[in-house]
Amino acid sequence: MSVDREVVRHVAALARLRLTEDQEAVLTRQLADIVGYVDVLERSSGGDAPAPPGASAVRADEVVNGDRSAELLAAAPDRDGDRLRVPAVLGDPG
Amino acid sequence: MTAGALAADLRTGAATSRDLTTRALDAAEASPLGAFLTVDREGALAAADAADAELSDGRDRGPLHGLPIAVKDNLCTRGLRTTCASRFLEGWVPPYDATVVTRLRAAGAVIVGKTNMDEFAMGSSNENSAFGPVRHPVDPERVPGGSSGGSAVAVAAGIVPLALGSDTGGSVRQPASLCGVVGLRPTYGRVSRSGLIAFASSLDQVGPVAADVAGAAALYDVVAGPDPLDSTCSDRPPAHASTAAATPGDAPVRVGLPAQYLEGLSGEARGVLDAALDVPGFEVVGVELPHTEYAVAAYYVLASAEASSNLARFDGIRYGRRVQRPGATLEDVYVESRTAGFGAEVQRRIMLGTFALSAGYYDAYYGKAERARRAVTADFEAAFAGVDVIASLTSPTTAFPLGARTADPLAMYLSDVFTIPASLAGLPSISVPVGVDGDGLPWGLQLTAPAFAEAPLFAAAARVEAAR
Repeated sequence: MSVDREVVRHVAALARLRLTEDQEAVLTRQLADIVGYVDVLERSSGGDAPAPPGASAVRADEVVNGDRSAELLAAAPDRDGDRLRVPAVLGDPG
Repeated sequence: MTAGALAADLRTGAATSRDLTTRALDAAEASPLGAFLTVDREGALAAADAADAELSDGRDRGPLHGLPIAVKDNLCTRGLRTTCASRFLEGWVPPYDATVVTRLRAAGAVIVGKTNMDEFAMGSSNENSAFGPVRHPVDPERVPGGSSGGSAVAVAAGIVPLALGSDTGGSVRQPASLCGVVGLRPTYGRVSRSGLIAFASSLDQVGPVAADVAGAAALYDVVAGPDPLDSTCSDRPPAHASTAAATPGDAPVRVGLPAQYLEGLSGEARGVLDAALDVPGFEVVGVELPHTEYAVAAYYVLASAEASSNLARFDGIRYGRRVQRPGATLEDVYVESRTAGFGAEVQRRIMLGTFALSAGYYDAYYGKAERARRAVTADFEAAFAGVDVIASLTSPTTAFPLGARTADPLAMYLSDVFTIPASLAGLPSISVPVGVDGDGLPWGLQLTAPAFAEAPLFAAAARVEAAR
């Protein structure tokens, strides 16, 4: 599987990252190296062994840590009272 | 300066918590090694005074009471800046404590500050911090390892006796090895991750760093155990590790040496490994972990895929950095904030993970990596049928020079070749210092045990330490 500039541009758009021309070139080379190495997995015969360990404990669906809304809102970069302010989602950004 | 020795000083009156804490704060501020991102003098001294007042009233919270401790900067501390060594979170102050931090406070420990790390815990050299690298205490032109480099150096340089780090693919064990301190990755599900900023959720674990095995066990005992705030945390009550470390006994231990970890090891490294395992009662036998060659590849696909998903929450809307130019759309804010906020390695991992999860590549990469992970896990299960612990070096080399691997991400990823398999399998694994090379740079021995076997693992580590 090959990684070229077009793939890198497509993936950057999916990841919501903007790359300069130079970064695009470097990342194309580096990701091609890494993906080339990862192709070792093609030879792997791993298959039906049991899933890796993992617990999943479920607690009662109750609020136990109180109302933190003021503290949480205080971390927002831009807000209007109790609402987070963002640019227009629809229409002319203005 | 071990936790045990300092705890004894507090109880004989040879020192107060304020003495120890002041010394740690002064050392943290004066250190040129870059181990700390934030030093909390005011909070630490208040906690130290409270610890002293309790001790003089006869209220003793246990082995950590009054001891200065450092906490990796990806663990949330209420009211104290938590950056993940990222520009994205440069000014972020968490509204809550991580569960492990809550437990430290309840145990009377004094948090002196937050340690430097690779940004979002992505790295093996601590060169990916947005706020500058951490330097090795023996040779400041070398790396301390990563991503918990600040925690390892804070202990190795004698600033604090104990620190918390986090280990996704080796981020506690590898810097512990390179710096000559003890570091444990607990079993997946043994320690709560509530308040640990997520990198790769199927792999991340919080673990102790300490000057000796007993210190690591004491810290582990405080942080291990069930937590209703983390659904992946096991309900199983933990065995007491400090008891196991203090009374390791001399019963025979079957130690497996995987053939696959010996390939390509230098003569010096092999000599260090053999000498480290020359412990009374240890019986060393060969074992096979045949899928080892797939582990690093599987890890970088899975960890990066999970990172690309976990880090999608950093969008510049609810917290952290926002970049918004006049006339920007919402989409522009996402893109500009992430592009400005994330460093090069974080962007590279997000790109790799997004690629591995994208249409057309998912089966070839993510699916295959999942299957390889299961094969690596099955290898360990088969090997543990015949042995109690599995041994290797923690890192194939001692600390390498700053800049030596930064231009080649793949070479950097291969720094973790011995630590990654236990991470994939969710097993407890500890690094214990076992001597130094010709330049005085430490080597570490890695011991790995079956899931939830931390107590016998600490006992074996204590025997390695005692045999030196």
